[in-house]
Amino acid sequence: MTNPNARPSERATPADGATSSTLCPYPDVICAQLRWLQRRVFYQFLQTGCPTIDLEADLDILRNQADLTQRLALPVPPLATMPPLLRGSVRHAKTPGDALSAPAQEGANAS
Amino acid sequence: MKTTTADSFRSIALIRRWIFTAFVMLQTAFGVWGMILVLPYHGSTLIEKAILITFVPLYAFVAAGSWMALFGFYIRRRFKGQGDAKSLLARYSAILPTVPLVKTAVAVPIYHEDVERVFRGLRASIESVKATGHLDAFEFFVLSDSRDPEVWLEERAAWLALCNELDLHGIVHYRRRRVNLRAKTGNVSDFLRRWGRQFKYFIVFDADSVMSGDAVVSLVRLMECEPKAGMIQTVPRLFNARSAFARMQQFVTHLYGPLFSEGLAALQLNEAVFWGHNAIIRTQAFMAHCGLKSMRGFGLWRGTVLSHDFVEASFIRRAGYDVWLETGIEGSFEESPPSLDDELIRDKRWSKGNLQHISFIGFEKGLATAHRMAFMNGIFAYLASPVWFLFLLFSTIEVAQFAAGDINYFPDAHSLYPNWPQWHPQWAIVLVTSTLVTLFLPKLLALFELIVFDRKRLQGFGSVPRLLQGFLLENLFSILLAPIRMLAHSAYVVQAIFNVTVRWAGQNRSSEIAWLQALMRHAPGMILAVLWSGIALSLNANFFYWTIPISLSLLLAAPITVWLSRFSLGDRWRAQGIWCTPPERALADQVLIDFANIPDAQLKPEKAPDWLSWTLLNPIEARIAAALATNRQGAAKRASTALGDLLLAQGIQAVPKRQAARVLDDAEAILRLHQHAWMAPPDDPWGRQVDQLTRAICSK
Repeated sequence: MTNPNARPSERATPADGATSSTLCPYPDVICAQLRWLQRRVFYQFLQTGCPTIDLEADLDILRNQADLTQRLALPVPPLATMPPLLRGSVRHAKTPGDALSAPAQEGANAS
Repeated sequence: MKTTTADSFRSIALIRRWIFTAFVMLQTAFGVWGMILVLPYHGSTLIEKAILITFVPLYAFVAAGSWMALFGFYIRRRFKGQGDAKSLLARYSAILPTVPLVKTAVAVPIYHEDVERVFRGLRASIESVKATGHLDAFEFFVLSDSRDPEVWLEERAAWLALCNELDLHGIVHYRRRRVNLRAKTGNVSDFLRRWGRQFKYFIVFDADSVMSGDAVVSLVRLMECEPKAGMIQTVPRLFNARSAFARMQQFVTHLYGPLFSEGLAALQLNEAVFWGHNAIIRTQAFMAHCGLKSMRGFGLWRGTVLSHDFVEASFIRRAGYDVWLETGIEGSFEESPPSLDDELIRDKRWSKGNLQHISFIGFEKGLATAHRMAFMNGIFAYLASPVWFLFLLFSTIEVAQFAAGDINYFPDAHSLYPNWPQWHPQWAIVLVTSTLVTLFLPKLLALFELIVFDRKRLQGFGSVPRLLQGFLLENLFSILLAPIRMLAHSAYVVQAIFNVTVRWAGQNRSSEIAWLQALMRHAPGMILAVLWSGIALSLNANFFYWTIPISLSLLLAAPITVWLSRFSLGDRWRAQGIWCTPPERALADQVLIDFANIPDAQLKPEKAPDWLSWTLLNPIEARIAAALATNRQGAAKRASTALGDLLLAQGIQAVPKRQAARVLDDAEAILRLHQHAWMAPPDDPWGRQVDQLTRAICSK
């Protein structure tokens, strides 16, 4: 069920040109096998850019699912957007008198 | 190390400022005298007094701008284009190459900007810094306040692509604030509170900034040379313009900019202002003295300080640090809004921000007089428009009175003698001529200086005939645009006074203006022009002719706006050599050439779904999102788990996108959704989405 208050533009959009389901002209058993093969191969393609489809392609659903599960379980790489924190504060000089002594101090330190 | 005391600047600054003030006042006095002679009752009636009251500040403002440029011309010729002898660069250039660098942050606050453009500029700047061999002295921080996940997810992907491609991990950082309090100033303060102490200096970029490595390195070295310097502002020149409007603005900053900025720097000396970007700041001084409190007044003067940069400069100066405008540093660039309408949208924010400065002029103790004057200048930059509007209104009333035969020979009720109205058309011609000279002399001087004294820079403007053609065209358009700007600014000032909310939004930096949009925006001005011209014509034919330059501009506002916003026109005139500038002729800094040559980065396949779905479904993106997710606990963790459950059961479209994107704060929830989607049966919402993704990416 979707949120009726959400505007269409705020929702996630399906991929360009895509419809809601895939039509498969083959018997259900074959279609199910092809579907899981497709899943596994496409995941591998996104993951590595190099999918493996060969003439010995395994159509066994369980084996494709197992392969996919293995790929899904890959560990998350360590990644940081920012360096460690070194907290300080941004202050507002309340009285000019206090502030005027500061630069001389820092000027001395800097030079 | 050579040091200079504050007193020596003070005396030279005072001498220069008094000379400048004397020239402005003297010229204004002559102008007012001329106006008194022109007015039939010589300023003795109420309406003529009103005309004079509006005329004085307008004329003084124009005169100040003109004398500023004349000062700049004098300084440039006096020091043969090497810059003022008092400037930092002139004093320290000899030792500058030997000054060691210290750790400096480059902060790039962004908010719903064109992601590709932001990272292209950043990449060009970083590569330029790298070319100097000093990249290890800098760290770059992209500080995002973007709320839309479609924008910030793209920003994050662009950041990661940049890091991966140039091996910049640990050098370029990305942070998105979850609560974007106090807009840009809050964003920078938030960064400083968390990481500021690691850096002695920080350089602020705007979203469209590009700075060369040499410029960035020079700024740090100048700060090291001058321990009292709190801020050094560079003069950014426009580049990368495509529309005719932006190319015109680019031409203006390159042709006339040097004169005005040199004059301004010479007058301000160590009490210059900060323009918010392309400047270096002493971190400790800024953190100690420049935190901006919310304003506690009423109406407009309550809440966040919008034009924070001037205020920060005045605060750091109050604390005893110097603020310099360094005109000699080349390699500092920014972009122009692509159209008049985009410029006006920006002006709306700036006008309100500048009017807020009234409270700082009046109630903030200890500020330098130069900064109070800078506030006044900034305020009048917008206030001049309604004053000009009133001047036109009063002039129309004056003409209307005479046209109606309403001549009063005894305007002074206490006088026994009649006051005969007198017309001196020759004085009107003198006054108009002097005003035109005041307005156009700086431009002519800039052109003269370029052609006669600056042959090297002249090459960047193409051939002299094309330069002259561009000069004439620019002046024609500046005359046409002035009344349109005047009317818009007048409306903004009134709206600011009534405290109409100004929306904080990313600027349009890259698109053309549609006819409907232009007509809607300029309709009031067009109606006003028709009414005013009609009234003028009915009153006095001569007066009608005087009103033509203004009414015609207002009448043509929409077509002018649309026409000038066209990229095709900009491209055509560029091919013809009109409004050529050094960046366009590849004679500017190498950083701009590199900027143009950076290939377009494709961060996700063209047919991929939206960024949120792509992030959750793509194996690499999902793991990156999980790696960067916050480690949530307590109520926040429970909320994200609940959101994850909801999305898992009902699909990504179950909730609004901004709400759904909160799931990206929880690594566990991201991986759970990712794994579920890929293992889901075809009739599950996630299974369907995976199937759609497969076919979208793989279909032709």
